[in-house]
Amino acid sequence: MKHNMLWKVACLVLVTAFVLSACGAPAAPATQAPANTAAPAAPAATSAPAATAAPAATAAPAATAAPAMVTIRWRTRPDNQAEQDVYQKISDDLSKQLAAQGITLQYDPAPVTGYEDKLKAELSAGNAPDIFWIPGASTADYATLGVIADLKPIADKDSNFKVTNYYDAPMKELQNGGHLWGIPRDVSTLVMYYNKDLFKKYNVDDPAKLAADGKWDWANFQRVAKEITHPADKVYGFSMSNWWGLWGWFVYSGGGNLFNADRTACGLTDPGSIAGLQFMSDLFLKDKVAPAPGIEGGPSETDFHAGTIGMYPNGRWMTPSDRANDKFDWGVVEMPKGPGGNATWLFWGPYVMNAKAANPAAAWTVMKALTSADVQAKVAALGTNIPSNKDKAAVDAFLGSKPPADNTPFIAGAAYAQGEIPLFTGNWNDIVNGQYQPNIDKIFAGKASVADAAKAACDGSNPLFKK
Amino acid sequence: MSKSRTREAIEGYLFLLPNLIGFLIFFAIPLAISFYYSFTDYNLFNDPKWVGLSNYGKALGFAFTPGSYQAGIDAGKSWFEAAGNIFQPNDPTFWTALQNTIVYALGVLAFSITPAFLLAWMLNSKLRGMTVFRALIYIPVVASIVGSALVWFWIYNSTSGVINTVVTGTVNGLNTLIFNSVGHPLVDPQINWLTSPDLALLSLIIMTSWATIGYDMVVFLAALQGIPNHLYEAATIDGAGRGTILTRIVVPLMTPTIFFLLITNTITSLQIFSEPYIMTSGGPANSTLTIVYYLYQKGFQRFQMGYGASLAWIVFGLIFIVTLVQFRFSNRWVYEE
Repeated sequence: MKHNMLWKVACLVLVTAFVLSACGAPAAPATQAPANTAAPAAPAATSAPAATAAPAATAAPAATAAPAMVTIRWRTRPDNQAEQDVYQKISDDLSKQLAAQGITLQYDPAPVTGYEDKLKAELSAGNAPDIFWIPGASTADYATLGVIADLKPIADKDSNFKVTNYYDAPMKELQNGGHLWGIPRDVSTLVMYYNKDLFKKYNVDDPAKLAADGKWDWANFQRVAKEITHPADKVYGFSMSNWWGLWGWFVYSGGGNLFNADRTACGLTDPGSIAGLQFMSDLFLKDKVAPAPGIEGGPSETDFHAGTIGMYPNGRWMTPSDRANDKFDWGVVEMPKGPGGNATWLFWGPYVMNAKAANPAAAWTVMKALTSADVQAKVAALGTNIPSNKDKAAVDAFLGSKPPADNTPFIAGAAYAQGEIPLFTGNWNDIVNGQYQPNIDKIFAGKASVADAAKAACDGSNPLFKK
Repeated sequence: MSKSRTREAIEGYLFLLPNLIGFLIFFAIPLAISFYYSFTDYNLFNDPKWVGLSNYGKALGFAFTPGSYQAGIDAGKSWFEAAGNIFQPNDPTFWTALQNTIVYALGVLAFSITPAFLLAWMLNSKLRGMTVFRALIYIPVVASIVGSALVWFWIYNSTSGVINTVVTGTVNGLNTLIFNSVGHPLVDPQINWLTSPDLALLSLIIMTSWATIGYDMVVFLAALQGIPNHLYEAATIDGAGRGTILTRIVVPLMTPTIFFLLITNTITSLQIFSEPYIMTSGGPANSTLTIVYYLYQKGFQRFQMGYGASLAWIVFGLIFIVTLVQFRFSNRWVYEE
C-alpha cells in the first residue's frame, strides 16, 4: 500500500516537473541576464541617456568589484560555416573589448532557410535577440509593426556616430520618416559575373574591355550574349533566376521604376519599365540567348558554375560559391548601360535593435562596434560582403579579397545604384512577390505580352498600396 | 463509486496524464487558438482584433460587378468570357491555389495508387531476389523530402538534367539515323519542367508519386499476402485465368486497402507544402502555389496570421468534406466481410 502511494507521488512529481519545465523560461542565458536591471552601470563613453543616469555606479562598489555585466544577444544570417566562425570570433573579441563597459556579447546565428520565420516567431514570443540582421527590403515591415527600435534619439546624442560613414542609399532608406531604423551591416551592388574562358573559346569581346572602352551597353551585351550562345553545346550567353532583383534591374536600366515617385503605386507600366522588361523578354524568347529562369539559387545559377553560361548577374554573395565551384577563369564587370543610363542595385541589410531590448544603450554600443571599420574589414576579408562602412581600411580589405582579380566593379556601381527598397507604403511580399512576380513569370514563359503582364501586375497591386 | 474504483480511475488518469498534457499543450489548445485567430485581424505582434467572418469572406467570397460585363465586351472578349467577370473572387490567388491543390491531389492519386497496385501484383511472388526489388522501390519513402527534391531539381534541369539529356540524345540519334536524310530534322524540345507554368505542377506530381509508390506498394503487398490461397486454388480449378483472378478475386478483396490508401493519400496530398516550398517557391506564375503554401506565405511572410489561420481551417473543411464523401460512397464499391 505504502509502495503504491510512493509510486503515485513519484509519478505526480515527475509529471509536474515535466509540465513546469515545459512552461518555464529557457535554460539558456536569456536576453537579459539577471544583472540587467542594475546594468546601466557601464557608463559607456559613447552612449546615451541611460548611461548618464548610471545609478549603479553609486550603488555598486565599482572601484573594487567587476561591473554588473549586461548580456547583449545578437544575430546574423551567416551563409556558411567560415562566415559563422568569423562572426563568432568577432563576438568573442568584442566581448573582451567591451567588458570594461560591462557588456558581454552572445552570438546567436540562425540558418539561411527560414531565417525570418524563426525571427518573427521569436519576436512574437518576446524572446528575440537584442540586435539582429534583417534584409533591407524587410526593414519597413518590421518598423511598421513596431518590433524594432527607432535609434534616432540615441544616435542624435552620440557624437561619435555619423550616418555619413555609411553608403547613402541604405542610410536614406533607414532614415525614412525622420527615424533611424538600423545600421547597415553590409552592402552589395549587382554586377555581371562572366566566364572568361567561354569568351575566349568563342572569340567574343571581353565585357571588361568593352566597359573600359565605354562600350558596355545593352547593344553590346545583347551581341556578346548571342555570340556566346551555342544551343547544340548547351551553352548560353546569359542566364538569370526569376528573382525580383534581377528583372528589377532591367526595369531601372530601361529608365523605369518599380514604383511611382512616392511609392504609392505600381511603376511597371511606365514606358521605361516596359522598355526594360521588353529587352529582357527578347533575350529569352526572341534571341534565345538564355534558358528559362528558375528560382533564386536554383538551376540557372548552378549552370553558371557548371561552365555553360557566359554571363550571370548577381550580388557579391555569389563570389564564395564561384571560388568553391568554378573550374574556369571568371570575372565581374558592372552591369551594362541601358537607355535609362547606368543602373544597378545596392542591396543592403541592417542590424536593427529589438524594440524590447532591455538595455538599449548597451545594444547601441554593440551595434556601432559591429559596424565599425575594423570589424567590417574582418568580414570583408572573407570575400562574402562589401563593407557598409566607407572607411578606407574596410574597403581596402574588401578589394584585396580575390578572386575575382578586379573587385572594383562592386564598388564603382555604388555611385549610381538604386538602393534596395523597403516599402513603407505597403507590404513588399504582397505587392512584389504576390502581384508583380506571377506576371513577370508569364513574360518569361511567353504566356503574356510585356504590356499585358505589366498592366495585370499594376491592376493587382495598386489597391494594396497605402495612399 | 467504490473506493477501489475511485483509486483505479485516478490511477488510469495518472497514466493518461502525460499524453493528455502533451495533447492539450501541443495540439488541442493551439488548434482552438488558431480557430479563434481565424476570426481576427492578427499580425503576430498586435492584439487580435475580432473581425467575424471577414477572413472567410475574403477567401471564399465573390464581388458582384455587373459593370465588368460591358467592360469585357468593349475589350473584345466573348460574351461568355465577359459574363465570367461579373462575379470576381475577393482573393483570386486563393482560388488559384485551391485549383492547383485539387489538381495536384488528383494527379498524385492517379500516378501513385494504380502503379503501386500493379507493382505489388508483380512483386507478390516468392521468386529469388524479389525482396531486393521491393526494397529498391521502397527507398524513396525513407529518403528525406529535401534530399529527394534536390535530386529531382537536377533531374528536371532544362539544360543539363537527366531527362532532357536523354531526350536530346534520342532526338539527335533519330535525326542522324532518319530525319536529317529526309530533310526534316526533329527539334530538341528542351522541356522546361520546373520553369514552365504548364509543366511545373505535373513535375511535382511525378516527383511526389515516385516518393509515394513505395509505401502504397508495401501496403498492397501486405493486403495481397492476406488473401487466402484457397481462393486462388478454387478459382484456378474453376478455370479462371490470371486476368480473371485479378479482376474477380484480387481487386474486390483489395478494395478496403484501396479505400484506405485513397483516403490517406488524399489527405496528405491536399496538405502539400514542402515540394513547392523547396523546388518552385509556388511559381512560375503561381502554377505550383498550393493552399498550405499560400497560408504559409500569408501568415509568416506577410504578417496576416488571422487570414492564414482561416485558410488553414478552410483546408481542414475541404479535407473533411472530401473524406466524408469518400466514406459516403465507399459502401458502393468497398468489399466488407
